[in-house]
Amino acid sequence: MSDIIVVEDLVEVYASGTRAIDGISFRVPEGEFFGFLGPNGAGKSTTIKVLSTLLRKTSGSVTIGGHDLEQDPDGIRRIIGVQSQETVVDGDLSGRKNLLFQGHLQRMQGPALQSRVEELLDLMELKEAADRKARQYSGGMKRRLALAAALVHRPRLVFLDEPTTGLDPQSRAKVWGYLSKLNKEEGTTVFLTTQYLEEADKLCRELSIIDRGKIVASGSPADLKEQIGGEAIILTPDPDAGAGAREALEGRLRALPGVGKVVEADSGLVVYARQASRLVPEIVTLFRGVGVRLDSISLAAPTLDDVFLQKTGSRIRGEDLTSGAAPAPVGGVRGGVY
Amino acid sequence: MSVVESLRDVGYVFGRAQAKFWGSPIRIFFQLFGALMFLVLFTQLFSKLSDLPGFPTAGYLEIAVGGILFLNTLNSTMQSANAIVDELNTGYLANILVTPVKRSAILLGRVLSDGVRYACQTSIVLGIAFLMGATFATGVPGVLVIYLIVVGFGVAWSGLTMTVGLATKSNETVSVVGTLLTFPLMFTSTALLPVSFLPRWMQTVTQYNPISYMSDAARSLMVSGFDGTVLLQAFAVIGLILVLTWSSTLWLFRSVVR
Repeated sequence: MSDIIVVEDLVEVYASGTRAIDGISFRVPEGEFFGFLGPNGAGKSTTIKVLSTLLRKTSGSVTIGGHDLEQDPDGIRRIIGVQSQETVVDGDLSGRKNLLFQGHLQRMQGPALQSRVEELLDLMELKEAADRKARQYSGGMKRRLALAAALVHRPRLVFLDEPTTGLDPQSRAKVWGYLSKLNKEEGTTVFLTTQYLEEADKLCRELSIIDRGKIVASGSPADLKEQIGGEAIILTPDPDAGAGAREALEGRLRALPGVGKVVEADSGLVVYARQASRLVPEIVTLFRGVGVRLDSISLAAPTLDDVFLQKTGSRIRGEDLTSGAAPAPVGGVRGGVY
Repeated sequence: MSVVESLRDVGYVFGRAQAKFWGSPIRIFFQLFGALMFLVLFTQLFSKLSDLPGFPTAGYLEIAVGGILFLNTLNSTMQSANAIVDELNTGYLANILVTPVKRSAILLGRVLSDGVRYACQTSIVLGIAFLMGATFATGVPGVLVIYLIVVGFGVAWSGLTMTVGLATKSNETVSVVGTLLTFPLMFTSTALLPVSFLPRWMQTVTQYNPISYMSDAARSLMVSGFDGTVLLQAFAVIGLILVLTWSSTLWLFRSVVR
């Protein structure tokens, strides 16, 4: 299979001087379900804006479906669908008219367009509301309408910028269902950005983890977690322990058999090790030996957040690892780029 | 092929803008109501003026119509800018820009739709004036020229509000600038009073005020007849404004799209 996206050494510097994308390279084969996972401000939306011809790149090269971004942006526009993070639909028009207009802009017309629109209204469960003005739609319905609008012309490649941020769990599950189906049954290549670990893990066959404009790791979710080297042991030492004692602790932890890495996280220490459960007694003894109180100890299977933590030294979200990583909407203001 | 595609694109953008316009009857009602209110208020307020010596032979109604046509248009051009600023800020414009639609069609379709909007307002004002007993010296051909002047001026002037909108991306700024300009433009022109009734310094100012040329032309068509010089001046002023404001609008728009 050929690569539908080829990005080489892409750089995007804003007028303010911020390096929003700092030299990234990646390829996405046709038919792939590919994801960009990273925290707010990592450069995910900016990447989509550049790749979807909205934002002029500073340097590097981008080819999509064989069309060069600089030479033939219209060639790219014909084969892509984009759902932006802002979820914009035309509130003055009905759901059906929103889709018809989007189809017209993609040079579709007549019965072919009409049957496609009805098909999408069905798929997105918007048929009953199809003639109501979109401003009356709920948040989840607007999101589904925007997704349908991105798909009207059966694009070979869809860019979805955080398609489930702010959705309730039920709506999120529905969107996941559509996307899987779209990718598996219609063979559409999906490029998705997300800040939800579970979403990236569940949907993406390949993903890149991005932080501060740089790709810090790439691979399938399973491969990435495999790189962690075993499970995570999360330790909470006495917060009042001195720096010297903590350093001694870390040194000794590293020396334990099977331990790959020891990382300081906001809540304590994370030790990555094979056969982690066997190490628990030794760790308890070790703490006693150094004279630092151990407030809690727990084990967890590695997540993509652990990958992020190992590569960047911080978490995607400041959330307790043991809480099961249920996705929750993350607040904060996100501005448009232009 | 490409020409057909471009025309279709313009048609789709125009069609959407029209669907939005006709889809909100309340907005149309308020425009009707606004026109009625201004016509009644102005003609009542200044009704005794035409008794004064030196006032042109026609009643004040014919004078007021010319002014109100352009007062309405000035206000409407703010809505034209507001629409595009909204689309820019909400990201809807981005939805359009990721499609292969012709960039020129995005503006052209919108401008055409705005033109229809200005024409509708003209119909409302002229219709009410007619019902109030206004006379039209030049008949149907003259009325058509009035449409041409109003729509032409509206399109030209919307280049100014669009420039402000695209440069600041702020609808508040468009409203403030638009409103601040509307009043001095109206009151330092010949739109509301015959020029001889203005103080001398204002008479000088009116010569540099585009609204004077517009309302003089409309008024002459209603009151006296086809006056080549007045009409030519009006269209020259429209052309001048058009070139100035739309070159800046196009320049700014080009930095937004690619």
